Amino acid sequence: MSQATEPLLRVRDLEIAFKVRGGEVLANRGVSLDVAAGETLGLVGESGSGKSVLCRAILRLLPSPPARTKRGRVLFDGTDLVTLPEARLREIRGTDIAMVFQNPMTSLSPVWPIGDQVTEGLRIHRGMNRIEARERGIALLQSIGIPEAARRYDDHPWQWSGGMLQRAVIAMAMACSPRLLLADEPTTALDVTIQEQILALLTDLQARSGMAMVLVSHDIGVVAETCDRIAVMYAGMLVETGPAAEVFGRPRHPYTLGLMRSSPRMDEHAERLQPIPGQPPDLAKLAAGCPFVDRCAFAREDCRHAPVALREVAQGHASACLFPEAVR
Amino acid sequence: MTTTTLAPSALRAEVARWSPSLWIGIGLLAFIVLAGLFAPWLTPYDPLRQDYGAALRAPDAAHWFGTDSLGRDLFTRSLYAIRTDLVIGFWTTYVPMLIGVLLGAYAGLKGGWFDAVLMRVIDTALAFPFLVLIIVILAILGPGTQNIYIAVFLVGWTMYARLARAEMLVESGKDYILAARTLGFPTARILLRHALPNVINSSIVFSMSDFVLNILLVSGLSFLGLGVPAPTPEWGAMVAEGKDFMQQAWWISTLPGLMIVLTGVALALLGDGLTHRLGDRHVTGH
Amino acid sequence: MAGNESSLLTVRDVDVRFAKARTLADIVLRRPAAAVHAVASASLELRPRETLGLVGESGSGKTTLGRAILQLHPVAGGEIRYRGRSVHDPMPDWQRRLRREMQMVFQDPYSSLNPRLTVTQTLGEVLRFHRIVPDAGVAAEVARLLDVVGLPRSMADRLPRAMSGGQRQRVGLARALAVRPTLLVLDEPVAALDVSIQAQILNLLSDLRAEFGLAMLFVAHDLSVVRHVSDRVAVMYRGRLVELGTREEIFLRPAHPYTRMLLAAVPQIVARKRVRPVQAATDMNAAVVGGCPFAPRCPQAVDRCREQVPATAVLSETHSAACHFAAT
Ligand SMILES: Nc1ncnc2c1ncn2[C@@H]1O[C@H](COP(=O)(O)OP(=O)(O)OP(=O)(O)O)[C@@H](O)[C@H]1O
Ligand SMILES: Nc1ncnc2c1ncn2[C@@H]1O[C@H](COP(=O)(O)OP(=O)(O)O)[C@@H](O)[C@H]1O
Ligand code: SF4
Ligand code: SF4
Ligand SMILES: [Mg+2]
Ligand SMILES: [Mg+2]
Repeated sequence: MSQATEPLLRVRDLEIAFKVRGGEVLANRGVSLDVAAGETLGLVGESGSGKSVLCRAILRLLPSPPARTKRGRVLFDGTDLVTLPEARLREIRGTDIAMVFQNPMTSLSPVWPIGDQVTEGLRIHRGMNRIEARERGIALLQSIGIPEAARRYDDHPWQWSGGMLQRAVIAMAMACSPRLLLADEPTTALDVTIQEQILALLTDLQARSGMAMVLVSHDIGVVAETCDRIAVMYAGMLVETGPAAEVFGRPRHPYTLGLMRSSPRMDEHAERLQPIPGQPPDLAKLAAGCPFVDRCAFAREDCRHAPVALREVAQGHASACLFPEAVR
Repeated sequence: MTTTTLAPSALRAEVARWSPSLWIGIGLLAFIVLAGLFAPWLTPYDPLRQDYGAALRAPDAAHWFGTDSLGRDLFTRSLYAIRTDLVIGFWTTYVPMLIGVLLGAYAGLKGGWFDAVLMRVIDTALAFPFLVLIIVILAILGPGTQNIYIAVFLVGWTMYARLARAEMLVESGKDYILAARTLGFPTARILLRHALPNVINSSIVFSMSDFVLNILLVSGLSFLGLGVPAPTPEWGAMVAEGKDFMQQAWWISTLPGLMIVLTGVALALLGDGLTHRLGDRHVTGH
Repeated sequence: MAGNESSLLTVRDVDVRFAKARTLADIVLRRPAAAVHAVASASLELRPRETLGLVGESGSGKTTLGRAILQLHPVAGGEIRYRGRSVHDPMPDWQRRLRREMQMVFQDPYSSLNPRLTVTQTLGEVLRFHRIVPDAGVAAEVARLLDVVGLPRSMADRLPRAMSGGQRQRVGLARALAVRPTLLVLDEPVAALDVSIQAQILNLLSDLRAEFGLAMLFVAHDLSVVRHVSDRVAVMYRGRLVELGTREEIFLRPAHPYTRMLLAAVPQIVARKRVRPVQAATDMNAAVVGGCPFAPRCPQAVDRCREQVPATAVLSETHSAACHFAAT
């Protein structure tokens, strides 16, 4: 991308391993990506591909042990979060970088009023007292579309439905006006109709605040409709990155193409879907070469041995396939 | 269990998953059981023969644990007591467990009035201290080993029923139980073949500590004179006999007491090891 | 419609209620146990060899209706007939026959198999119990079932924990097929699976349907999946069937505002960002009293909707919708 400004988040060659019985699982293998202010990056991939690990690794939220950052850097506004002292990192979490998780039901504590939880960050990081925090909290709840926010400020989580709770979780994340929001499958636990509301809300908040956002999903429809740029993840690697229109308009990695062909479509009817054969590889037993080779229709002998890495195939569009031109 | 005969490799894999506490627990318990079984070969004395000439001897090379006021060899009596105590522990633990798990699991699966009645009964029984209930029952039935069994059978199942019911409530909501119902399997089959193996773990682990408590209970009752009748070697009774000689002959009470402790440690280790081993199964990676 | 010769399954005016646990206050105040009306006068029909998709948001009663058909929940009213005879007829012969002719496939591949039984044990038990084949033929039949659902025979001695979600789901399918049923109720059979595996299972289902002439009630919340598999579609909202029609009618000419809302919310793999209007939160927990249950969320609602429960409007021989304005 020919952007003049430095990207807000730069992840470089990140490798994360988990110690397991009898070896280690490489959950992220040399991940590099950039997210600029005001941009939405969509991170897609099937379960176990390492999306959540990446998000958590950025904020150093992984349990260690078993997790370990073996290599790489996470540069946020020029500061390397991998080596930052814990105390400094704690300031960044919740203020500069915020996170939204998949399950709204478990993201809030059942025993405290929702409003208090939403404004906790304001009290801790911004030193507000309860009365100031309450005022700001009610405004926040209003801005995320909770009707009668003043009255519902003191409700407990069980009184709210899943969609409303996810809004509260988003309000909690937005309370200190973060510059980067990591949303890890924020709509997976919700119905399509509610998903649409949440995505609309996130897009709107982002446009108004100019923050950067990473939106994780296993649903390519969700990221296609919501994001500027896409990163497709498979077996701990990014296999394709680029502008949404290009990645889905002309996919250059067989896995991206496979995901698109596996999904039933609303606009055309096919008697049969074209699934990707087989299953994702075991991350504890990955050999050299392309991790997709056993499921790939375009595989050749080279794919088993040659190292694969993201390489630019067009302006701002990169693929980790050795033969990106063959993919169609 | 899913397989009746373990292939050698399966056995090896199974053993490889045992934790140190499971190993030590199994080893200690095996040691105690073997000592009880081979008691006649391990000692030249008769546990019941009295020898007034040798009364109240301190531990020495001839009498490792010393002798009691009647001149009986305490090492011999402690070994023979293994037979009494482990047998009592076994029956007083596993009969109530069987009753409790079946009742509790059935209640958890079926719900309704059976469940409601059972829970009231259990709540009532658990409202009284265990020992008090047993003593009341023994007061009615009179002392004796047989009556101890009856008393424990009447009361001991309640904890197991409660544990099994709680696990069953979780398990019965799982789809494989529903699938068994859609296939028309009878309730007894669903209960015994499908649900029980998946709800019994916590009871097995609990039974290890229950076993120790039951031995202590019987020992305590013997100590009070309500338990195992006089000449039969039993640890609790031996500790009780020693209490009058505490000043001159500490060994009479102490060494049988240590046997109780040793058994307790073995079972506790076993219980801890089993918790980890059985807990293992539930890890699915999600 | 009940006496319809061509109908395999007829559900008429079925109600399913769950008693809510009474709180201490309820008992003291002698309030009767409140009931959740999980399914309210639902009527539908399934013909031989037909797939009826059942869609709706979470909590709309899809699972409950499916389970009621298999007598896993008692019904509070209405009737369910299979081949013209009530499924609640207690004759042992009839019940045994129902258990063989109607089967269910569950959503969660992790809890739907007994964790202690191998594949062979799970399938073998069904075959022996229902005497599908003589005892000597059980092993061969298990192997055949594995072939049918596309599992390698080497899986026969695996325990569920040693299989992936997709493989477990195939075992669940094999278990249901073991009794050679005529009607399958599938409750979100692919919801827990990744798209590439989901496509494999969907293709498998369409093969099985063609090969064995199965009728299927296919419960799902994913409209693109339902569109792919169904001949006809039923839409549920808060326990009620609000629209029923052929696939074309539902997807091309939806008549109920709720169906239209669901359709509009499905994310699609378009190569451009979608602009979504920001909306206030809908409180899914809010009670509805009187009038159309959808009125609080309906963009077309008028005063009449809040006062009068809409009757079911018949739009064609196959198409009906419960909305005052469906016909217009
Ligand atoms: N065993 C039960 N006890 C009490 N209420 C129940 C029970 N099962 C379901 N319900 C209630 O019945 C209603 C319908 O639930 P059901 O599970 O059928 O919904 P669903 O459409 O299958 O939803 P999902 O998409 O989440 O699976 C819900 O309000 C639910 O809370
Ligand atoms: N705490 C952990 N211990 C061991 N392995 C883990 C742990 N957390 C995640 N993993 C492994 O890391 C890989 C990626 O997981 P994750 O990032 O959660 O995937 P997803 O893309 O679905 O978010 C998986 O193989 C998972 O099993
Ligand atoms: S490198 Fe080879 S195996 Fe990997 S995706 Fe490209 S063609 Fe397929
Ligand atoms: S009856 Fe009224 S509120 Fe109900 S769906 Fe139709 S237009 Fe909407
Ligand atoms: Mg994840
Ligand atoms: Mg359901």
